[in-house]
Amino acid sequence: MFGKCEDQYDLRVGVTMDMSEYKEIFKAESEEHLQQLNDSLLGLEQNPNELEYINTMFRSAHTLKGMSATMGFNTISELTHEMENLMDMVRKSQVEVSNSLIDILFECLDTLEALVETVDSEEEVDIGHLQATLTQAMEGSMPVQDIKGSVASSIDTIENEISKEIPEVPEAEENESKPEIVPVADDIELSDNDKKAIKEAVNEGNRIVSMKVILDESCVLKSARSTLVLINVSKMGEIIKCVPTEAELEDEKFDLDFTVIFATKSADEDIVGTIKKISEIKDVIPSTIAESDGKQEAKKENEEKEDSEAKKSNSAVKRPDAVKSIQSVRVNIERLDNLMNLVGELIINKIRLNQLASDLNAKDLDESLANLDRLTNEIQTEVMESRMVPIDQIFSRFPRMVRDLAKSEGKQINLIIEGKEIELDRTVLDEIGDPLVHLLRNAVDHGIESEKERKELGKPPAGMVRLAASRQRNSVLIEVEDDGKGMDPAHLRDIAVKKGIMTRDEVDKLSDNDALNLIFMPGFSGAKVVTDISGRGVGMDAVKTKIEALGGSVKISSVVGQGSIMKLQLPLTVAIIQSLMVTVTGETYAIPLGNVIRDVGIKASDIKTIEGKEVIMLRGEVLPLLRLHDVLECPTEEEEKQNLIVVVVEKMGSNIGLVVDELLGQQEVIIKSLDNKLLKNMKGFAGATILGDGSVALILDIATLI
Amino acid sequence: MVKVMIVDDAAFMRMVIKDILTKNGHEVVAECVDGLDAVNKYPEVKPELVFMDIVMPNMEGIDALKKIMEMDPGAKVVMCSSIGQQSVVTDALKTGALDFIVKPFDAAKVLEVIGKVM
Repeated sequence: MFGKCEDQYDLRVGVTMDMSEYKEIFKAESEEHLQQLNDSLLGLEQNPNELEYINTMFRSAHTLKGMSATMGFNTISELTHEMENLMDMVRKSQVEVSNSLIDILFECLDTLEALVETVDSEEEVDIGHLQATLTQAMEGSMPVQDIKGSVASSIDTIENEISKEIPEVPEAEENESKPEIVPVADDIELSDNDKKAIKEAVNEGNRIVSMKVILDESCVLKSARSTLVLINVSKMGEIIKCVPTEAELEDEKFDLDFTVIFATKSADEDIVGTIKKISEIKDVIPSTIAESDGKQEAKKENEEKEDSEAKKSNSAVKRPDAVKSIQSVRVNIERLDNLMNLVGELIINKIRLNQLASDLNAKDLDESLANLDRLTNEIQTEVMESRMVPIDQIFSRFPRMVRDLAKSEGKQINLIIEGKEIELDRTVLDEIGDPLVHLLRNAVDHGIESEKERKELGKPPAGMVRLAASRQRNSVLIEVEDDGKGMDPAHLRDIAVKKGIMTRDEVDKLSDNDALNLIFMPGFSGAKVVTDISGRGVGMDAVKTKIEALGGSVKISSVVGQGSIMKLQLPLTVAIIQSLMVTVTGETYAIPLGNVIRDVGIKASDIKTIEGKEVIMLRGEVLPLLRLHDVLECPTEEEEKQNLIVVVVEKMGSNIGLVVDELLGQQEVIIKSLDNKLLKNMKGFAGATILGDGSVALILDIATLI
Repeated sequence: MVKVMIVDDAAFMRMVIKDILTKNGHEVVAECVDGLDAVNKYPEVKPELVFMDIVMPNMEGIDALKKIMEMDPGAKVVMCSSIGQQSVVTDALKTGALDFIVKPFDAAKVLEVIGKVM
């Protein structure tokens, strides 16, 4: 029960509740629903009779409507309201699932997506034409008599319609009951049956009362509200007559008031009190039609009250202490980044402590250090896990994309998605979206042949594009495969020459597999015609650069006439990388292991010079050499050594040997980004890391270093 | 203070309702993601009041209401509906729901309903 003053205060606190704090969760959840709508619509396009897709879409639209109305985003709630109506009609087979319907719905989803995206801005999105199309879709294929109820294009219009309709039906009744002092019995016609019922009721010791119930103007579901009144009234007696009738009330064929005549043993005050306890009731006007013979006080109500009171305290006693519910929490990615950083610091300090302990030869420390080791490892794993999100978060948008692409190309494509439950670090996931879009576009645009060509080749008319993720030991493998025309090494060689990327001599020396890698060269595009689909923006070189920047790799294989497979190897996390530690002029550097092919020892006397550049013959191939101290501009005063250490790294498909002073070994390093203004634009460094002894080592970024 | 169980498939709606309730001195003893979840949690949690959404996956609000009323005829359930759901709400009231609120609702409405039904 409510106390008085406090409640009024509380109400006010509640009313002025700031909805903006819900914007984030609103957006996040809306996006989930949009995804679900998209998925279901794609499914529906394939199986127009699958009820589950229709139901899911109906529910999602409905949920979105409720959410957006609560936030006050009226355009979204109007559009989703329309969609809900349409889906309801589809569900009831009043509207057929046609291609044009699917297209309209896709357009709705796109618009909704834009609307959700721009809820922050004041930008107005006009949905007028879409509403018109939706209305048309609903009108077009339904029996005439059903149109009226569903055409209503927005909440506003619904309300308008209702109020427009109202005068027609209850007008007469309104006039009749206007003089409220006059006993209702005189105004409302009682049938013979009614009279008989009244007589019987009176004989049983009941009074016959009439209650005129007036609803609040703000009442939204009037029919449901009137039902609630009738339910409560019937608990106090037996209803003899309703004006308008119960059926009319349920159809909402009344304005704001209705009258119920019933037989009861309760007193007027009690009845009025009970009805007024129902919310959205403005007033209740009682009048007595017939008094009972004997007067029996009904204490029923009081007893009931006590009963429920007892029940309440009972349930309070029995309540179990713990409510078991595991719930997830949304955490800002920045927090996780910070956490990861802190874990990094912790590990660095732990390594330092280990070093100190071994320097001091303090055996006592060993055990607790071993524990610390275990704990920091566990924390690291936990934090890394918490940053992992299922790859489905980006995979899920591809079916729609591939569908649209295929449609605009006039191709038939079956997209197979595997391993969408595989998890990846959030940061990695954010970065691979664009590269995957590019690879999929390529597969659809250049890979899969036209339906006609496929038929001629004896292939199934629908092309297959497979997007598969699988977890390897310490990485995730993503494959983009198609069963299209594949890539012809000879053709790629020709293009490379034509575009001046390589000379004819150079390309002829390439193995077929290396020729395939030509597509990763900057400025190379395999498309004969640049279409507006694959021709835009990034090329394959950008894909490769991006993946390699993440510490991953791209491999390609293709068979002419059978199709191509792109394999992206990605690290589970970008915060920690495996590195080869080397020293150059006394400084330690980390080379990401992903770039390293091997290390070799060479003799200085074996170095040859071609066109003024140092090279060495290694396994029958010419390997260009770079002295890392020259590249890093760290002049060395040491004499030229006889035996040199070379780290062979890969850049853009070709190998380069880096001459270093010393190899320190392989190590996990935690990347600290160089967001300092001074260092930010320095090329050649992926970041820095802190070593066990507290010194800083730069991490080389091979792609930009050389 | 009323101990309330919120049933809604939208985390957003649960959050909004929960904040309204907790900021006004009530306690949310359970949050359920659909009707099935509600039916499972109800006997365990024994809330004094249930806010029940209608359109949900797995089990709709009206079916969950029926199951809960079977389990506990004294259950106090308030339906959370949207515009255009007259008939379902009417059915729910006939099944034993005590009241309903219509989205979009504000805090005052939620609190008023609690005041009326408790």
